[in-house]
Parts: sequence; structure tokens; C-alpha cells
Amino acid sequence: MPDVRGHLAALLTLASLCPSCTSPARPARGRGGSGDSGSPNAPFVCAGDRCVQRYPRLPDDGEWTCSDMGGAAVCSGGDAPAGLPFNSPDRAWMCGQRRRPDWAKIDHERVCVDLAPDFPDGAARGWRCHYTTDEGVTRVCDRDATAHVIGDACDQRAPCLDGLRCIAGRCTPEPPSPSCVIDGDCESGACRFGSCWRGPT
Amino acid sequence: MRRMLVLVVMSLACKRGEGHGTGATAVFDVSPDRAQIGYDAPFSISVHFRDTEREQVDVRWTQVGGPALRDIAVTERGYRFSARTARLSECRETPLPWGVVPLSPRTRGEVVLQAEWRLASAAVSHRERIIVAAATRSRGLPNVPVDQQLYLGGAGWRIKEAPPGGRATLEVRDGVTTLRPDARGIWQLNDGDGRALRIQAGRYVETPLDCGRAGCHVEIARAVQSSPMTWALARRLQERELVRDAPSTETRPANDLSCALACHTTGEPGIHDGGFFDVASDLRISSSLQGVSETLQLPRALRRLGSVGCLACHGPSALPEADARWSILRSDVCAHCHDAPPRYGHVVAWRTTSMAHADQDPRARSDRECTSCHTTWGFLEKIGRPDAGEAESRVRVPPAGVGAVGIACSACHGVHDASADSRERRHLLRAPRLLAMFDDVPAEARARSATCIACHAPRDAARPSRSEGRRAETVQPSLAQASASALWAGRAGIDPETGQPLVAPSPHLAVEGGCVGCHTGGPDAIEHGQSHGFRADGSRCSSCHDGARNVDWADERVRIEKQARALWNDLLALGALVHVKEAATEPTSKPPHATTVVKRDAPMPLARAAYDLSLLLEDRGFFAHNLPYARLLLEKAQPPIERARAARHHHGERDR
Repeated sequence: MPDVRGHLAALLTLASLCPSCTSPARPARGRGGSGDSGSPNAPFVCAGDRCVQRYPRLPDDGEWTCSDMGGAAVCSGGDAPAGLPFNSPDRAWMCGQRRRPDWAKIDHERVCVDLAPDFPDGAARGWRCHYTTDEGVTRVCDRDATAHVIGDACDQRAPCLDGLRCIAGRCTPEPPSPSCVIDGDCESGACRFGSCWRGPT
Repeated sequence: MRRMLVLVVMSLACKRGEGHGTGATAVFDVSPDRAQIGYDAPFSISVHFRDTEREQVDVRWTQVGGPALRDIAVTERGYRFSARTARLSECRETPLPWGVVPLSPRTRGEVVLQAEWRLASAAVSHRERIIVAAATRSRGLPNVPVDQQLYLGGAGWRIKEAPPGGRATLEVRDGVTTLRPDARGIWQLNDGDGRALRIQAGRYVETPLDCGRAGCHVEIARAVQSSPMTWALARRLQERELVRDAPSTETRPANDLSCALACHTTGEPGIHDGGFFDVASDLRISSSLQGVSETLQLPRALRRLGSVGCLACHGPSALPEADARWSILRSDVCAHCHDAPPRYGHVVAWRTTSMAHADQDPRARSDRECTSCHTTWGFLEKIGRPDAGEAESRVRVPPAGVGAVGIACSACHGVHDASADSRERRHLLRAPRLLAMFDDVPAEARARSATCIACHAPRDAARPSRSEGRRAETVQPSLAQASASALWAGRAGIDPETGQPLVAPSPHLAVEGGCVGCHTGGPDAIEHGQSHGFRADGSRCSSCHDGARNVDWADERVRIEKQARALWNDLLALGALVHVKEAATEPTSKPPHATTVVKRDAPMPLARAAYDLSLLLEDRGFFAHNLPYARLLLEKAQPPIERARAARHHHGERDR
């Protein structure tokens, strides 16, 4: 069972304390999130409105396919890396087994969610990010003032993205239960932020 | 780019000299690319000091390693050093093999230069060692890192098709066509005869490591996880920690990993190949890994490159096309690290052995009778390598024109042999199943010498053992193909008269390690790997045997060999043995099994006597392996031959 409550509590705390409600630049997350000096964040390299982060953080040393959903990183896959002494998990990610329809033969695929991935200036607001694989997994963020992200201000006239709840005026994710990549993975027919979503509650 | 180069040079200069770190920091700017200057190509090194702009010093230069440089010029008080690298022909054996030419640390024209200077204010001299090379290492595989200058064996090369974004052109350097792929993807080349070469370029960091995913190489991935190669960097970091904690003051060499990392990680220092050094540079992490005590402290991208993993041997990008996969069995793949004398001389030592030339004879590498012990692919097929399917075995046969590959590293060492836990296999040695006659070989000797025994023993089905004695009575034996292990074990002979196994004591079974307990000799002045010369070390005999008796033994050896050859010639004269066709037309020093066969209708006692004699004659070391057993073989072979000779003589007299 992923340690989702702790992460959620930290996120809610951030959401309530931080006026801008964005993801701050995080310290390096080595084993145990201890901020090892040897494991710095890979830098973003910016050109115009586009910033590119080579070697972004991923759930572990395995093979992952990732996407960005409203400022959260969702990765699936997780085939173990061959020829390495360890497969080191990054504890910032919350992971679960991917649900598959009965007909699917693929087993052991995992889904992991990082609700506070890296952003060029440390804040999620104002960026629309995605991942590319042309040159290895790369995180690409484009400036976009209209992008909706976790932590947006919200009220009845400005609702949150599906999968987020408006709590104390801020779009806050549901407690993650990572298990899906596409809507088809869920009986409910909706996969949001890596978790099956049953609709607004 | 230039800044990066300087950084890399700084971080890669092997800092072994005294006085290091006690004063001004020297920056060495090498031009052009220090990792691949080119053969017979000029280069220069400029020095400047960060902290002593006002203090001029004289820098002295010495070449302390590598092939001799030419046109050396030291100017500007030593602040500028220039020279010309050695020619390719001075560094590597010729002719060059067709396709991507393998280059090792030994053949890449690597030169170690030492700069020495003394500041007026300092009590001791400073020394720095700078390594430059004519070329980067190359495994000779067609899947290669981007940015690596490839040397191509063959003639008339042209690029038929480049991948998207590829602008590199062919250049001739030192008389050899080269290509430095500047884009990932497939580079289609043709030589002057229209023969195609498909080069697949990629970057290490972009190459997936999911080799062990379901349906692919699951067992291999599991086996390799415990391999010492997988743990090469993790272990080295751990050792550094231990040294750091030790009371000894001799910690500096162990502390600096810069020089070791090229063989403890994946990728080539000094080029933009997406390897460990390249990514470390991107992430602004010093390749000396100061402050890092375990791989877990490295960023993910470096962790994935921080071992001698799949890509370190198989190269980046993707596995080669089926018709090029044979090349993974060449010793050149291991030579990437294990051919760096004087420190790592495994390949140098191996090259002095007859195993390195085992398939020099075209028949030895093509006739299925021979390939199982004369080629690496044939041997792997013979021992039924668990991680190779039949199709895989087939694609491992080198194409015509490749020439000798030899019995290379991977015949004996199964880097990812899934048959046993790597931790249980010393030096990653394979452990093929042996014939019943070797049941008495101690487990320790079997673990270290099973691969030797597998080929240095007769393989004929009629080979008798205690459990197979009955069968041996009725089956016509052919000749022994090799016999050293059989003599050593005191097994394999057949009583010519009865067909019963000839068994004798085997005092040398007790030698620790078996074959490699004595066969440890190799070229001088090699620190690691000398034993891969496999020369018998006579000094090991003196622990049990009186050296003064050497002369007696030599006489006895000559006597037995002479007698055996005389009997062998008798068998030829009697028609029990015949030369094979090709042996009759060419003078040869080939062993008996390659030149002679037992005549199909030879009387059984003579056929068996021939087999026993072939056991003896096939083993040049019979007197050391088991002299009493050699005597027994001779003694048993003699009577039927003498009888037949006498009978023939008698018939001859009568006919006359």
C-alpha cells in the first residue's frame, strides 16, 4: 500500500501555507529523501518559452513512460533495469499496480505518481509540461499562463480539473491510489492523475 | 564545448604524482579531442595555472607510457607541449579486420604524459599525469556510441544512407577510412565490393535497460545481477570507503577514482556518447566522485551507467543485426578493459596461447568435427550453453573472411551464464558437464578447470570409462582429439587386447585448481591476467619433486615419445592408420587427430593400440600430467603392434 496519506498531508499543508500554491523547488531526493549532495536535481535548460530537463526524476532506475497531468507526473511501466546492482526507488513517488482489463496479458506493470515534480522555476503555475523520449526520457515545460494545474485557485465559477477537489479555495488531488494510465483501465471509465476517478464527490 | 573539454581533462588527468593538491591548480587544455586525436596526428597541450598568474615556472614534460610520440616540441617554458601520435600500424596488429576495427586501451595509442613543475614558494615539485589517445576504445561491434571515431577495415567505403540529422562524412586518417557518427540511427555503408555494413549509433543514456523483461532475457538478467561486473562501481566505492577509514596514510590513489571509472562504469571518457562521464559532465558532477560513498547517492541517470552492465559489453543503441552478432564472441569485447598492460594483461597473455589461434586453419573453423573445440561458438554449442538457443548459436558463426577468432574469453567465462549463481562461479567461469571419467576430479579443480577439461579430453563415443567399459569392447575407437585432461586423470585408455578401460592412479588430481593450478605462466611484467598465458609453471613441480631429477625426466620423456612415434609409424606401415588426404599433400605440424585416421577395417587390437598411442602423442605434457599412465599406454599398445609386425614379416618371408 503506497504511503499516500503522508504525501497528501504534506501537499495539503503546502497548499494551505503557500500563497502561490505552486510546487517549490525541492531538495534532492536520494534514498529516504535525505537530500544527498551527490544527487542533485538535473537542471532545466531554457530557450525562449521552453525549458528542457534531461535526466528527470523517475520512480526508480527502471524503464518508464511518463506524462504530465495538470502539474503531476504520472509514469507507467517499471521494467526492472538489467545489469545494475540495485533498482533504487525514489520515495517521492506513489506507486501501485496497474489495473488491466481481463483480456490484457501484460502483468506487473506499475503506475507511479509524483504530485510535485520539478519545474523550471520551482513553481507549477504558468507551465504546461510533458515528457519526450526522443533522446531518452526528457521533461519539457512550456510557458503557458492558462495551464490548469494542481493548486489552482478554485471556486464554483472556476472548477478544478477532473480528479481534483476544491478544498479551501485550492485545487487539491484526491488521495492517490495509482492504478491506471488510460480511462480503459478503470471500471469507472475515468483515469485521472494515475488513479481511477469516480466523478465529483 | 571547450569549457567542457577542459573540465573533462581536469577530472580525468590521473593524479598520481607527488605534490598533488599542495599548491597551484594546473589546467591542461588539450587540442584536439584528447580521447581521439587520431593516429599519426598532431596535438598540443597548453598549461595555465589558476592561482599563480604572477609566478612563472618551468614545466617539464616526460612521456611515461604508451607508444613513442614523434615531433615532440616543448615551448613557452613548458606551458605548451606538442607532438604527433603514433601510427596505427605501430599500435595495432595488421591487417585490420573488415568492418569496425576493434581498439583496446593497448591499441588505441594511449599515451601518458607527466608534467612537472615547482613553484618558488613550494618545497616539493608538482606532478600531473595527462592521458591522451589517438582513438577511443572500440569493441568492434557495429552498434556504436554517437561521437566515437570509428576506424573501418576494408577499402572503398562510402556512406549509402545516413540517419536523420546525420552529417558526418568519411575521412581517411593515417590511411584508414574513419567515420564519426554525429546522429543516432542507422548508418548504411558499402565497401568497394558492395558489401554492406550497417552501423547503429546511439547514446548509452538513451538505451533502455529492460533486457530482462518478460519474454526476453529474463534468466540472463537474473544471472547478471550478482555478477562482479555489475557491482564493479559499487564495490569500488565501498573499497574507497574502507581505505578512507583505515589508519594507513596511503589513501590517495584509492581515493581518486578518475582513472578506474572507465572500466567500472559504462561509456568512454572524453566523448559525447551519453556514457557515465558525459552525463556526469552534464550534471556537473566530478568524475572523481568525491563525496560519493555508494551508487545510491548518484542521480538516476548515473546509477544506470554506474556498472559494467549490459551496454558496457554489448554497446549502446540496440543489438546488432543477426549477421553481425558473431562479433560479440571476439576477445575484443573483453579487451575493452582487459587489454591494458602492464596493469591488465589478460588479453595480451591470452594472445600468446595456441587457443588464440585455434581456428587459424580454415578446416578447424568450418568442419563440424573440429569447431566444437576450435571455435568459441562451436564450444558454446557443444557445452549446450543454457542461455543460447539453436538459432542464436547459428548466428554466432563468423562469416567467411573474418579469419581466426580463436577460443576467446567467452568460451571459458560466462558473464551471464544462467546455469549457476554468479557468486558461486569463480571468475565467472563456466561449469560444463564433464564425462564420467572425470568423476574423481575434486570439486575445486572442476570449478576452476572444467572448461579446459571439456576440450582437452577425447570426445569419441567409444571412450571408455569404468561405467562404459562394456560398450568399449564392441565399438571401434577412432583417435583421441586431445588428451591432456585424460592423462592427468589417468583415464580414457583401452586395453587393446580386452577392450577394458585402462585406469591408473592420478597423483596430480590433488593439485589445487586442476589445470590452472600449474598452467599459470604468461608474459612478464603483467600485473593482472598473466595466468591467461596458461604456460605450465615448472617451479610448481618442485614443491613435491626433486628438481635434480629433471634431466632424468627429460630423458624418459624423449624415450617414451620416440617409442610411441616408432609404434605409430608401424601402425601406418601396417595400414591400420592412414593419412587424411590433405595431410598427405601439405607439410604440417598438426597433431595426429588432424592428419591421421584409423582405417575402418583395422583389426580391433590395432585400432585400440592406435587410440592409446594417440592419447599419448596428443598430449605434449604427458610426462608432467601423468608419467606412469603414459608408460602404461605405451606398454599396452606395444604387444599387438609387434605381433602384427612379426606376422607381416612372417608372411612377407613366406611370400618371397
